[in-house]
Amino acid sequence: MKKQITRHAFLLLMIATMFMALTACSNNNGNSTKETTSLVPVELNITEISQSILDSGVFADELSQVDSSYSEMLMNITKEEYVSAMIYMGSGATAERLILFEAADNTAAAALEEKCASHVKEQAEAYAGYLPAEVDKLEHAILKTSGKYVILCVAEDYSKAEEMIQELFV
Amino acid sequence: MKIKDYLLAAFTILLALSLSIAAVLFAAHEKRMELAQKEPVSFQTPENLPEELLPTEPTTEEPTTTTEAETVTEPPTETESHSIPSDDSRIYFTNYTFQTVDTSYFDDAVFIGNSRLQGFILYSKIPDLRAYTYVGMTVKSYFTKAEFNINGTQMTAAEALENTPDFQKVYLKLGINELGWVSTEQFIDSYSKILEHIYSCNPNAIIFINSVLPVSQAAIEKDPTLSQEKIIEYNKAIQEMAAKYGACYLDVASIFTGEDGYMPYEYSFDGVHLNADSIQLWLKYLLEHGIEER
Repeated sequence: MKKQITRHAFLLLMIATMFMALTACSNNNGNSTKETTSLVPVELNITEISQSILDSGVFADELSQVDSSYSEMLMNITKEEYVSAMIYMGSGATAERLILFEAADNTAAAALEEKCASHVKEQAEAYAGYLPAEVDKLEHAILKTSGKYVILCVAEDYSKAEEMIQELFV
Repeated sequence: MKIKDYLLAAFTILLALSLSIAAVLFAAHEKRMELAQKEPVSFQTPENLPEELLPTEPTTEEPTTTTEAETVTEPPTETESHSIPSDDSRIYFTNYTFQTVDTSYFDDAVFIGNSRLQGFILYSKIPDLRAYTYVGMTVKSYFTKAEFNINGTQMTAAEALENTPDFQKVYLKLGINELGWVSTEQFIDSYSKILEHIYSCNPNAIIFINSVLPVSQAAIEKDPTLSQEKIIEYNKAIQEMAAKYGACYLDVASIFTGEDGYMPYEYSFDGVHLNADSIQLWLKYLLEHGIEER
């Protein structure tokens, strides 16, 4: 009897261990180690990132920094919705812009990303009737979120801009 | 002995269950972290644009019925309450006195206009200016295009102004997007309605109307709807309208007009929109042309 109980207990332990192994494995989906999400939030320097992109030559227009208080006027994003922002806009001759936000957390970043997406759609509608040549840039706008950070880039050389952002915005 | 065996079995089952729950929780956490990373989003423009967003065709702007031309009142040159400065004769005003002000002068002001004014707002380096500006704004879309989100409601510029508390001054900048209109009278007629609307919101508001800025020759070659002659014609009409309504006409265009009558290359990126450095010249002009409160 004692032997039987011990055997059953051992069996149960084996089943539990196998179950744990299966559930852990099923969420890797064959992803490489590089893409495994770190449990430690990544801190990014949005000032440095924005400067790198500005210096890269991906923009045709002259972008100038805009006071972050105008995020509401430009994108319906109030100051309370982010911790800090870097906003660079073109002269009005193009739809080009570079905008980076640091949100309070991932949830706030997701909300910012939604508003950025709406902003790009609205701009595409506006420029279709104003400067149709700019619509292509807006269609290829780069919008990426990494943890609590959001970046929106509308550039002439959007392919190069996307490559840079993939490297810088991890 | 029997009880001991059962206790041992129960403990083993409990341990197995705990390990299973821990595994499920760990997997859920991994999934949440994975969701935080997303692929870049691509965008598509809408296939069908609303009519108001289509480029303005001159023929569509013609009035369907003929109207008598309005008699334009001759603008007053002097009144007992003011004198025209000898070095500023290009400025039209009524019973105002110009003074140099600082940026706090804009605290109770609202800026309404097109992309050129939006450029002023963004590059003025003055935070928190109240502005209702957008790319492509016209004297008609002031009343029709709900471009502004005010407290969760999309509003036109007119509605946004109605919901703007305590404004005392309005700076207007319109005209470049209407150069393709055939009729100057229709442009002024629509512009006048904006002045009437502003006064209906605040009868004592001081309205500053910025003249239509010049464009470069290169810009005209690229876009035939741009015309320096039309700009001059519009500005003359705006000047007369301002006098009629007691608004202040600000000839900002004069500081960006070269000897050949066009905008010099160095002021702009595309011959139409001022660059960030040029905006500072515009700002300086506005700060030198503040008006004493009525």
